[in-house]
This record gives sequence, structure tokens and C-alpha cells, in this order.
Amino acid sequence: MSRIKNWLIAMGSPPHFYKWATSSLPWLAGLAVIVFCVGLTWGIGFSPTDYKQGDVYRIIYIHVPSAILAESIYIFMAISGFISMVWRAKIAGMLINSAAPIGAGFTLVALLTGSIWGKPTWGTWWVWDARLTSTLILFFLYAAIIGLHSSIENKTKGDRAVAILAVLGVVIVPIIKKSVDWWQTLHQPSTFTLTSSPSMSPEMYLPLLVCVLGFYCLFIFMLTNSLRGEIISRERDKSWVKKQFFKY
Amino acid sequence: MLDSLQLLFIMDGKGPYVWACLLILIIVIFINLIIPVIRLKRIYREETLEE
Repeated sequence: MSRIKNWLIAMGSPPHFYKWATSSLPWLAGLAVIVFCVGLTWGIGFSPTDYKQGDVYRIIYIHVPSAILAESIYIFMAISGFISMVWRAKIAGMLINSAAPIGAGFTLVALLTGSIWGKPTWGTWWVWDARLTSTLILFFLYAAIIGLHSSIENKTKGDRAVAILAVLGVVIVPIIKKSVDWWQTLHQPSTFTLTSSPSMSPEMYLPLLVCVLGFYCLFIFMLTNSLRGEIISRERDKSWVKKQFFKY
Repeated sequence: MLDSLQLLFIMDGKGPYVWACLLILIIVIFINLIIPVIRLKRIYREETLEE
């Protein structure tokens, strides 16, 4: 337990994290590509056709993992924001800044793929339904975090501002999750629940689980890749960056 | 083989919806991967020019 704690404390130091990230990036990339491709190929190419929706239901293998990731990334940012506010860990602010564009991207994918799926199933691209509207608000929150940080010249103050926004904004996540239960919506109930068994057959459900896992692996890889850039950008005047990155 | 690939591509007329979603996903992933690389290259160029 103390080894994990020591490792986490060491990871809070930018030079240590940069060193770890540089050596781990090829492994993370390999793992992400394998799991992501297996999940998508299995889901889109080999899972059985749905008797009601036909083949269009295969959008689930892109839409659901993107939506889960969009919410998870925001929770991750809120936790980082809390750590940044309480312990003033420099890396936590960098994590929020690096994760926000990735989260915004996956929220956009969830919105666009949901819209494309809505056309053949609901007959419309968009409805101001509780689930769709709350996900749109999540996208605006990501955009606000990105905009707020880039508009503040002082990076420490910027980190503090986005940490507060990330922590306050996390209230949207349970609203998105519960929107299908609290309001009358066109959107189907949650695909993943902890309390009940899945309503889909295992042939459809298992590739979805692999897809979700693949998306998480992809996020870890993308975050590590982006965080390296963030660290170099902020610490470019430090001697360790000049030695390790610029090779002076 | 070709027939089954064609069936997979067309998906009973629903193929364009599914493939459009995949294309959107790939574009978003590509943008998120390329931006940090461009950023690092820019920093490297600026720093080496300063030196």
C-alpha cells in the first residue's frame, strides 16, 4: 500500500511523470490500438443483427462507449480539480487542461452519433430531450473549461479557476445518468447498470464491454500523450526539460 | 468473401449511418492525437530558434 502511495506521490512531480510517460507511451499505444480495434471489429463486423432496429443498432459500439467516456473524463477532471484545490498539486491542474479537449471530443462524438442514430430510429436528428440536452450542457462545460484556461495568462490562477469549474460542474454527470428515469424521454434507458443484468444478448453485450475497455485504454494513451506536451510547455525554462527534451 | 464485405458495407441500407459515425470517431481521435504532437514540435522549433 505504501509503495502505491509513494508511486502516486512521485507521479505528482512533472519530471518523474514525463520520464514515466515517455517510456510507457509505446506500450499504452499498443494496448489501446489492440483492444479498441478488437472491440469495434467484433461489434460492427461480427455481432448479430438486432431484430427490431436492424444493422443501424451497431452505432451503439461507438455511441455508448463515447458517452460513458465523456462522463468518466468529467468525473476524473473533478477529482483532479479537488486534488488541485486541496493539495495544490501542479500535475492535477495540468491533468484537467490535458483531459478537457479529449472529453470535449468524446462528448461531441456521443452527440453526433446519437443524432445520426436518432434519424432512422426516431425520425429526427435532434429533440430537446432530457438526456440529449444534459449531454449538450456537458459539452458546453468542457468548452468553458478550455476557454477559461486559455483566457487566463497566469497558469496557476488558470488552474485554480478551472479546478473550481470542474468540481462545481460535476453535478451534471448524475443528471445525465438519471435523466432517462427522472423525465419522459425518447432516449432508451441506460445500457449499463450496476443493479440489473443487461437486457441485451451476450453476443451483443460482450463486444460492447470490449469497446468500452478499448475506449478507456485509448483515453489513457491520449491523456499521457497530451500531458507530455503540457508539461514541456509549462516547464520549458526548467533545466530538466532542457536536458531531457531539448538535449542541451 | 466480396459479397459478405459488400453486405457489411451496405448493411441493408443503414451502412452510411454506421460508417459516418465511425468516420466522426476517427476524425476526433486523430485531432486529439495530432494536436499534442504539433504543440511539441512548435515548442521545439521556438526553443531551438531562440538558442
